[in-house]
Amino acid sequence: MANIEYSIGELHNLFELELRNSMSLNESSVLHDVAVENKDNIMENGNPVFNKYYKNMKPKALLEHLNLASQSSVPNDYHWDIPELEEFDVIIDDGHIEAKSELTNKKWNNIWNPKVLSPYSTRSNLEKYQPYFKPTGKISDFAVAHSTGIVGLKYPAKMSRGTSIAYSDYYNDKDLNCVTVLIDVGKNCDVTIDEKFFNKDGLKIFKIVYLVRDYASLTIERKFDIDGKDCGANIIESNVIQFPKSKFEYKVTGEGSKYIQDLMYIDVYEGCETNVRGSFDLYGDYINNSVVDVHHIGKDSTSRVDIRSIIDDTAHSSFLGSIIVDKEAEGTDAELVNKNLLVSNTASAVTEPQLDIHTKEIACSHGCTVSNIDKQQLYFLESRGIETHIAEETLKQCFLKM
Amino acid sequence: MLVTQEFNIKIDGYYPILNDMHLEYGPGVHIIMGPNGVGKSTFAHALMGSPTLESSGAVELNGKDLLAMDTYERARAGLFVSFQNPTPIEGLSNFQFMRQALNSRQSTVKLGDSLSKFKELANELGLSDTWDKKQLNVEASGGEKKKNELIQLDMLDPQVAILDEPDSGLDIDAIKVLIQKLNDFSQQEGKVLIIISHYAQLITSLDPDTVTVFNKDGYAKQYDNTDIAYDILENGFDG
Repeated sequence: MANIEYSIGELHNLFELELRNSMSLNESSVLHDVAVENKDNIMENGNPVFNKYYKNMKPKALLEHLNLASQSSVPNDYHWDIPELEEFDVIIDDGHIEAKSELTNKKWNNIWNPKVLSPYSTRSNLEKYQPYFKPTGKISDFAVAHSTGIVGLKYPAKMSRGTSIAYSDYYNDKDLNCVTVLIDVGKNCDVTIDEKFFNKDGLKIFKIVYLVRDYASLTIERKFDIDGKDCGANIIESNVIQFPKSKFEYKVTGEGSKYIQDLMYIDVYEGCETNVRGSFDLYGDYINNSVVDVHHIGKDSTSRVDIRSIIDDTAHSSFLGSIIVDKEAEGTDAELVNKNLLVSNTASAVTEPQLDIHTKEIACSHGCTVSNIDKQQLYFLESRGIETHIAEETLKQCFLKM
Repeated sequence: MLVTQEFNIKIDGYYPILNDMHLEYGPGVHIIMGPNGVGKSTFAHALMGSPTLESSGAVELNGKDLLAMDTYERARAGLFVSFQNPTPIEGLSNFQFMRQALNSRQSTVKLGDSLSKFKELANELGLSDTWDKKQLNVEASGGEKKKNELIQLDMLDPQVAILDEPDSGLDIDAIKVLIQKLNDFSQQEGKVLIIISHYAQLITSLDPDTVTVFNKDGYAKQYDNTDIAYDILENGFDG
């Protein structure tokens, strides 16, 4: 049989033709109800990729990215395509999760480690998490409608643990991958997760939900595949729900890639701390699109967002940041910063801050800029004998460090 | 030796500031004076190669064509110009900056030795113990910025130093250290010290060899007889 080549722009048609129905739509799936809801939403409201929400995110580049659905009767050689296998505690792809014990025969002591959640284990109780995967009208709806099943980790209360997760390729094809993940951080936990996203030739759409329970602390350090920047495209939607008195810290670094959207939606309840810090050094024709949306629902919470990008050559950066403060969220202290340093005439950056405030007695600010290298600073460094290209590099590094 | 001939300076390519300057600065101390806004600082930064200024004519530093060089090459050739209000750079510490400037000159001074010298100079100038770690010119007072420039002068050890009102913002104790540092510098063999200042104590203490007066018409005249400086200090530029 012939292979089917298609872009995300055609995906809803394939749904309609029932050519891309996934396991999550089966009645036995732990995602069944919500997967159907997501599919119906797409069919009713149209393909979300054409939503104006994505207008600054180079949607054309995304639409030009082609996936290859193999119709061959020869099964694929399924294995983890990841060179640094030993470096990670957990590896995840669509419907697949493997912890160190299975990967390397090094025993992962279950007493001191999070519980691995798999759609193939009835003890995972994944059905109860379905409300967190409701349709949003965004591209991630495809992830839920098209995923094989939720995978994840559950940290029992009071656990203090560092975990490294690789989001890698198990299927070894060039087709679309939709990955749904649930990370449940129990009450009073102190958890750090190092994440690395490896690229594959096809598009990967992720929907990752992080539950940070009462008094828990979660730090995520996210990195992208530097060596695989020329292949693949990733859309990563992360939804963080911060329960009262919890702390969430997100640190992300990258150099962009052929196409990437990193979308972070954070719901903040009473007495929480939220810190989001990103630094990107883009060059060539790479693209990076960041979205950070902090929704203050409870009172007396603090949030800080600071995303910085250096954009060189013909690279493109977009940032869409918003702070929403509900009527009940008195005492909110929120700051949103996005700074972009353009170092070539052909680079482009778009920054769009939004404040949506529904109460008084709060402190809320934003500062979003697109600028070039400061000629006076450059002259000052050169006047002390520092060569022009070194002075420029120094100023770029300072910009990211500020 | 720094020599200018038919040296003209324009801002942004069209607005003439200084014209036809024939000036010669050999080893020793030289004072530049002139009313506000006549282009004394502009002169210094045109020599350093400021990107906002356009220069024509000829300038030689030890026989080499200064105007043909990039700014960093002029610095490496031995020229140092202090800034009236040096620009802040967030994310770069005072010492990181100094170390980078030294490295750019292929300095063989070890990191530990240059840090010790930096701290010693900062201490001598009454700066805080953590001055090396503070961000370059960020949230620094006018006096602290001037002291920082003095540290840079001492550590980079140029042949020709042009200092723009180095006394401004300094307290009495710091001015004593400044005068001592400048005398130490100018007494070294072959060093050329050019000071833009109207501060009597500084001029008297440095005992200049020449005085250059910039006038409102955009011309400059250099005097070997330094009594002109004292006349100006007593009677002003129109006296």
